[in-house]
Amino acid sequence: MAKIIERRDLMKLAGGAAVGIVFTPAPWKFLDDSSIWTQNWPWIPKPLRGELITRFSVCAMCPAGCALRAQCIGKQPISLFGVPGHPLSQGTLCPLGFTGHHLAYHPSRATEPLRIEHSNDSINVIPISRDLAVAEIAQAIQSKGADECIAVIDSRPGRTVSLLYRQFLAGLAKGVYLCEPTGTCATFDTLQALSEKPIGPLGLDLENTRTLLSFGAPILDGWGTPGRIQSLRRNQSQPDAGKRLQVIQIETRQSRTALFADQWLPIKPGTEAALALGLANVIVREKLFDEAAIRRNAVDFDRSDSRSYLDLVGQFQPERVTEVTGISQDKIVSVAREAARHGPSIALGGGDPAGGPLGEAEEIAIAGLNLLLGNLGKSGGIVGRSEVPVAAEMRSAAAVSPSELAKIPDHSIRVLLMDAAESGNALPWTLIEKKLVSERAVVASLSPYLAGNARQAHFLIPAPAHLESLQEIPTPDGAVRSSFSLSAPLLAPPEGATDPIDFIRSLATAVGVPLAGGSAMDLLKGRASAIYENGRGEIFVFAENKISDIKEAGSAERFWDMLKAGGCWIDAKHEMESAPRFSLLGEPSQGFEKLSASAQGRLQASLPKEYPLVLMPFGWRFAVGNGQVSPVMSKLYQESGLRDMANQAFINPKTGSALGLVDGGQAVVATRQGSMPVKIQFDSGVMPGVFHVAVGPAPNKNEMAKKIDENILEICQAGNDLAWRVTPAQVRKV
Amino acid sequence: MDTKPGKSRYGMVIDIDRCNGCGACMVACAVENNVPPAETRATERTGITWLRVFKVDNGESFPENRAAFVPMPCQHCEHETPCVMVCPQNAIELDKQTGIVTQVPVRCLGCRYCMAACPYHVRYFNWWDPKWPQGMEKALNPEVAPRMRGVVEKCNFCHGRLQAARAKAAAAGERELKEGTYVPACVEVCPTSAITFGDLADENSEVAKLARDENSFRFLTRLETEPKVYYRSKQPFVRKFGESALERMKKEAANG
Repeated sequence: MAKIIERRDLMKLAGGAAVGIVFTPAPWKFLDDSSIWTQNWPWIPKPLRGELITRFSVCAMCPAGCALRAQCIGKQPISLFGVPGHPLSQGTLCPLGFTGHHLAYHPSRATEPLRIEHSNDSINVIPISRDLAVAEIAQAIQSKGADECIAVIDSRPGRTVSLLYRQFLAGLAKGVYLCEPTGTCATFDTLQALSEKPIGPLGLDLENTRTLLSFGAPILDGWGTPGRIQSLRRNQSQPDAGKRLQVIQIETRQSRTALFADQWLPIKPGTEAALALGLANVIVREKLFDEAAIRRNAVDFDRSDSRSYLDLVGQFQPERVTEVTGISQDKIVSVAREAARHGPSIALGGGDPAGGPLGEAEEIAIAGLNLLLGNLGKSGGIVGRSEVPVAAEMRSAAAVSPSELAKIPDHSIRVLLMDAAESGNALPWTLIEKKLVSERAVVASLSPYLAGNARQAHFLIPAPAHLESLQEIPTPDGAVRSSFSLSAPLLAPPEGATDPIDFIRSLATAVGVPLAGGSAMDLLKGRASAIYENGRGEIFVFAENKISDIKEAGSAERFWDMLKAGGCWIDAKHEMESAPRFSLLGEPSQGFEKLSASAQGRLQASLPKEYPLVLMPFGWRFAVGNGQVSPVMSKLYQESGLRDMANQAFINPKTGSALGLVDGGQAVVATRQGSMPVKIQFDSGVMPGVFHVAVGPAPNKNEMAKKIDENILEICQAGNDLAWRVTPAQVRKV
Repeated sequence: MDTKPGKSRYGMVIDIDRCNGCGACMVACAVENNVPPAETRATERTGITWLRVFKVDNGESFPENRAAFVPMPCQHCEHETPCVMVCPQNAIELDKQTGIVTQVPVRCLGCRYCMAACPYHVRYFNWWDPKWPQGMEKALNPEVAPRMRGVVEKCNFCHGRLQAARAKAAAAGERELKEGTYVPACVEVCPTSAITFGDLADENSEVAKLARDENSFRFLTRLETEPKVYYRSKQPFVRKFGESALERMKKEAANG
């Protein structure tokens, strides 16, 4: 007789199952497995597998030229590290360098030529063929008016393509070659301009310097080659005072260099010229300089017309300079004595990379201080270095001289070519725009990215991205010895990418300008050959980790192969021929008056009532001028606040509270040029009455978006010398 | 195969006076461990940084204000490790052979008890699916699997590198790892050599010597979790962070 299943049986079964399941591993296994299952979705990326190999190259993201050791799976780099023992970079890379292999995949990457159409504050991009873009740009060049010019902005002068740009411009009726205001070389450029005869490239012998007066230069955070700068920091902690480097940072903002300097002199905004002349006053008054040498070499040190350098510095008594700069008399006197007695000393200008150049008067005053300190051509001072040899055919071809954007008449550029990957964070577009012929101007960018100033162009002819093409690395800024290396490609470029050398050659053919040399590869090979034939210097080979005489390469072909494998040529030390004669005041006619007027600082008198604050933009050199940064840099900018995101404004808590602002709140900055929203952050390191606004970047932002971004530089006020560091402004809470 | 016969206590000493806040350690850590770029909405609270460099200051007003940078990885607590103690899923382990506190993401349920328990706030939750721009996933480190949304992750002293160093040592017939053969990515890339890493159990190692130095201190020592990350600084305001915890402990002891 069949048993009837009763409700009681079902209850027993359920109860037994409930008790039994606790004693089985099933629920725990299920719990565990559910974790595993939920982590194996198809959209979770799976890393490549394969044999790991090491390749060597050189970072081409900025002029520092740091050596790279790339871990690759097949041809795909998966990580980048420094190369220990490398004579220039000393095994160090900056955070951007570690992520260089990401840049080929940047969201704003352009992989084919684009026509960019502008309407109000948005853009529309249309793919076009490279030939059509070249034809249209060529037509614009050929149809330029008599007063109009054709200009190229070179993001990194000194390369072979730079020479080609200059040759191309020399073949046109009115060609203008412009360099970006990098700031790093501003002191050298000024010294060269003040010299009666050319003195060649200059460098800083920082390894033997004892006192470094930095006028806002980010010397310990982004200046020069990172490995070299870190060894300077080690010099700072030398126990032997006689060998120790002392860094004195003169800057309004408590930058990282100010934090790590031996002394920080928080100076009122835009008053650097007054301080430099005040320091010169003390040095002259206390006779802490080589007077005979200065009288011998300076054309305007002491003249009878009461407009000499002596008359000028006589106006800058420490008590007067204190009023202007906010730095105490005692400090001015002690720093001047320190610089003169604890030498060799260098005064370095340049200023913050995003804050823009210091300005002409400031740089002349700083250069004058260097000449007074007698450091030109001396060990531990500003020394000469050789020119990197150039192939004969490139050297003999006609080339236009570099010019400055400030010296170009407004509304005069008909066609503008913007080289490389300028991000727009270190050169405001407004400054470029006012130089363009309104309406009819044609702007072409050779950036690999549709970002920054490239978004303002009419054509984008994308260059290969970082590590996608063979690039030459000229001597890093400030280096004592000339060098040359090649950034060997680790990745293949997209088909639509065009090397700037090939582009300029196509354009030259289209407008009928003959150019020297052949393809990009031929030109670089020609330069390497010229270096080898010159016979000077030595070469460092990564794989062997040794430095050998260049002659040991045996042939130009072998030397080329060594460079391609990541080798680095370093020239012999170069002695400056003799101390040149120079001017301490700049222009003979107006130099005295210009410098004298700088006594009041950039803002001249008191700030206008409606704009009671001073706006000062700032940025990190590695990230503001050289193109895009890896999205992983969001770790520093977005996810930690270690570096400051675009449009973050820093203000002293007292100033902020007085204005009714809230820490972390939103506000609007207004200047005579316009207004812009910012995020307020209180910072006790900020001078009252001043606010500093970061220019970026914003690494996680997709710049392919149609809207043109707002950049704080667009509302900064530029002077006649195109310096935009200090702008009267107001801040309103929103 | 475990080639290491003895017990190690891997740890690090971070010289705050040398750190210039460049962030190379944070970026190298993210690249090494396949930590994805921030999601658009991510903030300082919801982002993922296994090693985070904080800027701290002396609290003075301008111009006396001074700041320093403090890198904060997981402190790898040795004693009553808080995260290990609260994890219901056994997803966190204190490896007795190495002293490394490891996270096993596939076991993690995302309850975030460990985040609440961690006194150093060095654990991070994946609020979003890991995403890299198109093509960039090819550049991921093959030694580390990307994690899924909904799990917690943190610094493990680049455990993949430990395994690679062990394999290399084993291939060379060595049973002990020589000093310097295993270092996390942050240590390798630090341009100022501010981070020293090694075996604290080896009294002659550089890291052990530095840890014993009078200028070295640890954070929140009053909790007695015995962290294996030490800091060094001669700046009083920086040292105060560690000492204030000690002072509080003394006060608490005095008050019963």
